[in-house]
Amino acid sequence: MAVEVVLPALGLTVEKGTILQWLKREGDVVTKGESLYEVEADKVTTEVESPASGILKKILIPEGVEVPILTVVAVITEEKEELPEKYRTMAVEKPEKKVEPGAPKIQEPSVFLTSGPTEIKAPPAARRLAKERGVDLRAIKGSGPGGAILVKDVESFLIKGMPAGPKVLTTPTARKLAERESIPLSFIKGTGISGRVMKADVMAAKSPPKVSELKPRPPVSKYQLGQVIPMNSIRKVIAKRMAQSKFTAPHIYFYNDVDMEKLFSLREEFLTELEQVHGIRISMNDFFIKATALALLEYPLLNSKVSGEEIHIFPEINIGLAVAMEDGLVVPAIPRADQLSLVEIALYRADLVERARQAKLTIEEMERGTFTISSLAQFDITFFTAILNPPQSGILTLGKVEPKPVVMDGQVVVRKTMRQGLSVDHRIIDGAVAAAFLQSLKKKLENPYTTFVKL
Amino acid sequence: MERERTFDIAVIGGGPGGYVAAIRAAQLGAKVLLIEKDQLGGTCLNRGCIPTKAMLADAKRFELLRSSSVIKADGLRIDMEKLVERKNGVVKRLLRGVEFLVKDNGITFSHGTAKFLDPKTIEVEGEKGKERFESQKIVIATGSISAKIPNVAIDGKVILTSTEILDLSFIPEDLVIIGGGYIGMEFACLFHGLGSKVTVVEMLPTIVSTEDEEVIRGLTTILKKRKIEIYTDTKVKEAKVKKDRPEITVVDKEGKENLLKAERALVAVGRSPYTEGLQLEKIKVALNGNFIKVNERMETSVPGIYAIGDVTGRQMLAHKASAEGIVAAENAFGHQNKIDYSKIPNCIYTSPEVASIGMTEGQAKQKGLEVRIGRFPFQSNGKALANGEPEGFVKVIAERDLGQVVGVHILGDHATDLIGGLSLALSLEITLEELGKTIQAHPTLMEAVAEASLDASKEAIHLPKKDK
Repeated sequence: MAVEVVLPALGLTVEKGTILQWLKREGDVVTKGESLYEVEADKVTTEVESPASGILKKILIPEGVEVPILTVVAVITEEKEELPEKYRTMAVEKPEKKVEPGAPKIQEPSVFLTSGPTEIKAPPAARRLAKERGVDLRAIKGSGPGGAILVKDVESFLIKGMPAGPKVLTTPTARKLAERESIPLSFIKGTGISGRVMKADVMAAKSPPKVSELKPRPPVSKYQLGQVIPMNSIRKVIAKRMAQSKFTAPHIYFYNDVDMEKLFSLREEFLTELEQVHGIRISMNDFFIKATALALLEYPLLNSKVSGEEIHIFPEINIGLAVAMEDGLVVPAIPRADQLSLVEIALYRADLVERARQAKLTIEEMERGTFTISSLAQFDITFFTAILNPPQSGILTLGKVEPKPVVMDGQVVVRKTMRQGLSVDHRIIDGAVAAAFLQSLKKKLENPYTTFVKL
Repeated sequence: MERERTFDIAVIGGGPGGYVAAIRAAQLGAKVLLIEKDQLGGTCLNRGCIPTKAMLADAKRFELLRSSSVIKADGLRIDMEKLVERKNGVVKRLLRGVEFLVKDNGITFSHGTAKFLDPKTIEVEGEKGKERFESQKIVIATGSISAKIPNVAIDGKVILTSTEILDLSFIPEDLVIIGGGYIGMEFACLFHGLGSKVTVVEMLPTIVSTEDEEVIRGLTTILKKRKIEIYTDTKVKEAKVKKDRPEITVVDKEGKENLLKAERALVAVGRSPYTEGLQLEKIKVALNGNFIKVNERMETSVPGIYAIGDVTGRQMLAHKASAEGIVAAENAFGHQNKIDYSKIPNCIYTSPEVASIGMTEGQAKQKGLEVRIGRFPFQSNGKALANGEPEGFVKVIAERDLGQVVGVHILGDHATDLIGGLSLALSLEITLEELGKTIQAHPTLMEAVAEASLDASKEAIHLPKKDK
């Protein structure tokens, strides 16, 4: 039976995507889970996996065309199966040709732009990267179809050096190290005399984000007074979803203060050792994720969603962590956090956050969350309220940890304290349950040895 | 005209750290006060680097002529008074130079002893009484003095420190030197060159113990061959003056005592930080032993107060102090500079000379660094042979992975001049490849450095073939 390949929902905030590159040709044998094509949406390039095994019978949407999410972009059939009739007329023409109105919108400018005397083929992502890095596309040999210059060609060009670009001062040792680590020297901030890139600078830049994700550092504020800014699609979706959440789900909010002294000393105690053994630094967030997951086990109602007139309690506890991006916000989730060890949570968290910043998350990672944690502990924020991340029914907020005077045994003492907040959907969660949940969480955090140390 | 009382920066101590910091601050547009109780130039110019090198130059020429089998110079003798006079002339000339530079840069000079009243106020007591100055930033550059050891009665006439020995009006027949560090060994070579019979007593198992092991071994062998007596692992129990001559009781490792007699004795057992009278307790600056504690930006524990040079410890070298002075002055005015202590060259003006930069083989091993090592002897170098100075070698230590050169050690005449190029090479993080493939002029001693680098990959041209 023919299987439709659709442009997936690329996260909360994406409405449309541009097919950047088909990784398979019509007639190719494909296996389920294999990468089929690259899609670009809001500066993010994602590889989409094949939903089924079979023959890639027909590509309906060619490279360079922007279509709304859930559009059928290709059809996979069984080996001897004919292409069903209804797909035969669906294919969209290549963007060079005339486009019929009403067909999926074609992105402008089109994929293959001409520039200079000779025609240079390069998709927009490659062009943008080249422009950002000041690389003349004419100097790059493309490896894509028809000699098109792909992002990876620009990357490898950057790594090998930029004969046409600005000269980078460096040292022989730094150059050798950079070559071996495949770090383009032009991306490394040099701390030597006249900005010379030294060995230590390369070491510091080791395992940096890949070339394509590097963006020029934004200025303090890129906005100006009186400016009118059209919302990009991310912003539109955030706006829509937040408004929908706030106006649909009646929020109620709860706060309590958590004494963090013991948790800090527990972390202190194990941090170095765990770091040496597992090579990962356990962050405070990892403790919050674990403790929240454990508290959700006790109060599963907070791990649920409204579905019509039913309450659906999620089968898993997947804790989402709000990660700020340059333009917006994503919430990748750590799956089954109740069953994971702290080290496993830390490994998940580090990887997800890193890839979130690089806009490299998969849709599944962004959509599997069943409860969200949002922390502004890095900021000088005492506490804040959050809007629920639909369809979830609970979100935990964390303010900064600071020494505060508290009364203990009739004495005023200074303790590291944090204020946590909980927003819940009052349609299905009442105050008493929410309060009990938050209280349980507080207890878990204040008695970390009982909570985190398995005996 | 009323004298200025408030400054952007005040520097206490006019040695190679202090006066350089003052000039750098002036270049940056600061209003600078420089305080010195003695003469500008510090230990380096007045009692250290410069005068000893002036004397060594004469001693070396004397020794060369005496030992030459080509030049026949019968009745050759050295005029000690003239030698001291020439040395003083060199010092004076350089001193005038420093004084000119300080004045030329518009630096206010205060002659006297400084003490802190608080972290922003200094009182200077000079010949004309007391003066108070206020300064936003203060750099402590008070240097060091010769260290003393118990039971050694330094009288300055018979048992001397490195200061008094510089003005000795005669060549002692025999000289016992307590301390086999770089100061002791330089004086050993100086007076051996002038004709004294020299004995060195060192408490540690080796002389110049901070150098690379092979260099130490090489130097010890050469000096012993020249009849400089070296007692290592030997402590001084007592040194006293008896009938205008020193008598030194030493104890060896086995506990055996020995009485050393000579015409003069020199105590060169290192140097201690000099902070006397500064009233550091008034500003509560953190110390590290007796040294002032600083970070790599030369900041002390007190905001706005910097310390540089010998008073902060580490290697006591004039060029280190100067480099720190520049960093301190720049950081005092908003820069964020640091010193890379792994790339400070070190020179010992023995005969032959020793010069080094970076790690010794022992240090590399201690750090767990896997290394490649290349060596080249000067006896295979044309220029060294032509000079009649075939002793010594070049040793290059590189980290195995990337081939970065992390240490170079040279034993041989003119080593101290060769190390300059290598300071540049190491600060540019050069690898064996560049150092080995750089075209060196022929015939020069630098060829030995290139060859030593090639030898690290067993590819030296002028060495017997090595199996790879």
